[in-house]
Amino acid sequence: MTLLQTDDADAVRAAEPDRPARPRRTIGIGGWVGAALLAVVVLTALAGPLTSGDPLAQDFEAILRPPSAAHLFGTDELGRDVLVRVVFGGRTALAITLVSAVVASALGLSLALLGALYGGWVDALAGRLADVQLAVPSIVLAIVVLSFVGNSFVPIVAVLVLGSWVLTFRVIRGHARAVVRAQYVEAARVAGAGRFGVARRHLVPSVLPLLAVAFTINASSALLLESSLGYLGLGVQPPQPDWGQMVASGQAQIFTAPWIALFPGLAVVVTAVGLQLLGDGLAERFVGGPAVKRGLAQ
Amino acid sequence: MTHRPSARRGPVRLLTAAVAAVLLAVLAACGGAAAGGGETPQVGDVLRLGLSRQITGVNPHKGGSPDSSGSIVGSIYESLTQIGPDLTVQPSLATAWTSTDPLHWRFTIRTDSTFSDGSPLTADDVVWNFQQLLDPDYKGTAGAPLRRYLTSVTKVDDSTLSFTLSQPALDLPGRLWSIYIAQPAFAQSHNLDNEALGSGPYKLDTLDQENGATLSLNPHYAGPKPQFAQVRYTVLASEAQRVAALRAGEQDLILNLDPLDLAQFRDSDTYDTVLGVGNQPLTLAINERRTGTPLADPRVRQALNYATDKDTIIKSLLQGAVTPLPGQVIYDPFQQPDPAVSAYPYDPEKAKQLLAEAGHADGLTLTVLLSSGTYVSQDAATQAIAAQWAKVGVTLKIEQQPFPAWLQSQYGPDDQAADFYYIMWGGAFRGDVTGNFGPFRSDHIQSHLDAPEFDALTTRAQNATTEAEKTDLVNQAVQNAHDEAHAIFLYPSPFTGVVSKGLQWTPKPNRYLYAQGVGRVQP
Repeated sequence: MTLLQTDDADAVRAAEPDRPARPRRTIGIGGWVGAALLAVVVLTALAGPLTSGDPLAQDFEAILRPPSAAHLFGTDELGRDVLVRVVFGGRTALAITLVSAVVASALGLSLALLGALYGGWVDALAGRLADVQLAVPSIVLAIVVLSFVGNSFVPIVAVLVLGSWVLTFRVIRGHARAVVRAQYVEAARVAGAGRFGVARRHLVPSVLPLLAVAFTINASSALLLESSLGYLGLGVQPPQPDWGQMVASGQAQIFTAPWIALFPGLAVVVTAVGLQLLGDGLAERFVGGPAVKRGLAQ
Repeated sequence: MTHRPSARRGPVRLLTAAVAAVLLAVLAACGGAAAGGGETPQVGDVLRLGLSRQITGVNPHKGGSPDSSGSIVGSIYESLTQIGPDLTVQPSLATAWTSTDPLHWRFTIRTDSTFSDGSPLTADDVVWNFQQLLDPDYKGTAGAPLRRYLTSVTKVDDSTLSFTLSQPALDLPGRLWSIYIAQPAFAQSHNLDNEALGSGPYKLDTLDQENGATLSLNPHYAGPKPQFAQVRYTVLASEAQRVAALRAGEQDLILNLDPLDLAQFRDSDTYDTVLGVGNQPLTLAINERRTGTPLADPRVRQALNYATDKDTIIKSLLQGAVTPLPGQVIYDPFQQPDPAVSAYPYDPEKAKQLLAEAGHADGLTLTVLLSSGTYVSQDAATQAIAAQWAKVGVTLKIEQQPFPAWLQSQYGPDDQAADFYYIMWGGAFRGDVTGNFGPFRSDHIQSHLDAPEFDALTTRAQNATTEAEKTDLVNQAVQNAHDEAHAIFLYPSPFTGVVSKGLQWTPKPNRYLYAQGVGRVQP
């Protein structure tokens, strides 16, 4: 190990000595399985509307029909095709999940970098904000906020962001503080680089792998929270399809028409597992261990 | 141990857990379906009754919803009269009544009634309760309607009360059915919202407004002794909770299940199902007073009535249990509807024409607010209505709130209230003008209507001095409400329930689930 390092991965290892000698070069089988699951979900959601029907179309002559060739996932109490609704529900869930994970990651990254670069009261303020946020359970915060302001797209995304930005912040902040203190960064400063230059040339490239890992975990928790809100009737409102809401509406018929709740429930499981596996794979690739073991996820 | 093998186990564990979760869900579904409700038909020592709404308190002077607080209050307290299963007015604390002239009534009351602490219920106690309710500063909300027509209640002797009215009230005995009598000393020293001391068949042991209440026999009750010594009311505020509780055999009697969900209990060894007609209408209550609302125009309200296909909803979602409301909020067999008024037919073309005339040919966006899990089939029914209205260019947004918040929203200002509330409300007994039409008047606490003509007609009907006059005025009011479309007339509420085969019970179409009305099947 040299004192002046230019390899970002080595900088990470220097900051956290219990890390294995070198990360793997691939995301592993689990990572690929996760990526494949996600690809299937995303492609289905994107391409489904081109081929399937109207998720709001009701057919009172075909209510509560079990899965068949005509309706692969069966129909619900209004005769709507459950497959079509699962596909369209996926568009809603993925859109909300993606937007909130991007915003949460951007917010967490920005605050973490600001804290690392400026230190002092900026870092302390960001840290306290994160502490306060962690003290409030996401689901409780979401229920309170959505009860007051209603449940359109923006408030839902806002509560999901509030519930997940802290993870990115904490992960990036610890790493960024270590990098800022690294001697090669000191050398850059001595050579005349300003804060912006350090951030652009050293910090951001250094935290990108971590950011990718944190993003998948953020997305996974956002998806689960969004589904929970839908289940509680606080998310996307009927008749627009939403996975959590569909599970809730099919719950009373779980013994007589299990397909109404089962398929949207499976969609949530598959997507969440896909995100988690991909997150673990990325963690293996860039950080050197599964996300849970590296303290990136709870 | 190295990181590599443990890293590989992470994904494997996740996958295993996911597969196990899915398998469990499938097995649970299949297992439940196979069980088919085949639990042993046993009714234990404790009678277990399910309520479909959160309890809002047990105050005897604040009314209470039938499938919630009202059922508990009616098991703990007594009133002068009560409503029978056929919705006729029957004696309770009062054994007889007579009207000496339109403004004066005399009630003969029992002298054997006793509060659950052993103290006697006297004529003075009844007078004290009415005095409280007639005081404009008293917080008991049941007093507000009383003060419109009742001037005073005085004691003539230990078993006779005199009522003096400011307005005639032909149906006074019926109007008194929900004025419960509390013990004065207790009422003045305790919070009646969550504590109780009445003279009814049961006394309150515990109360948890979110979850339920437990009752036990009032040892001093003067009437016939109920068969169950202990009763547990449980709040099951969603359809899924109600179905799950029945599947698990945790409840003996639950009302308000979606007709589609009754099918799973029809062949049960444990339960019988009930599917009939309730005594209160389901409507979309309209907010006509929000600033700038298109619903202030009667043509829009008429159009939405024409755009609603009640028959299809009834046939599919309500399993044909009811027929559409006859263009009015009173209907056979519980009330006497005006035969000259009939239901708005389903006519989307007429609806489009009316909307165009009202200047809304390009469409409208409106909102309906639901009370989560409260009314039978409400989620599916409102989605069906939304789809029907979409065909005439009206977008109906559906929102839900828990029952207390939903109620509070109706109490709020017009501009903050929703455009529509999917709601069941109406009278409690035959010929109940106040109950049948009160919620559809402009001055009702939950109303956001602007219906001066209807208000005037129903006021005159309430004060009529002969049945013929009352019927004529009611018919005029009904015609006005129909023509002005002061509600989206849907259908009578389906009366649904699942009851243990071990119970003997006469359904009350008004949904009050009094513990004393439930007994065991005698061998």
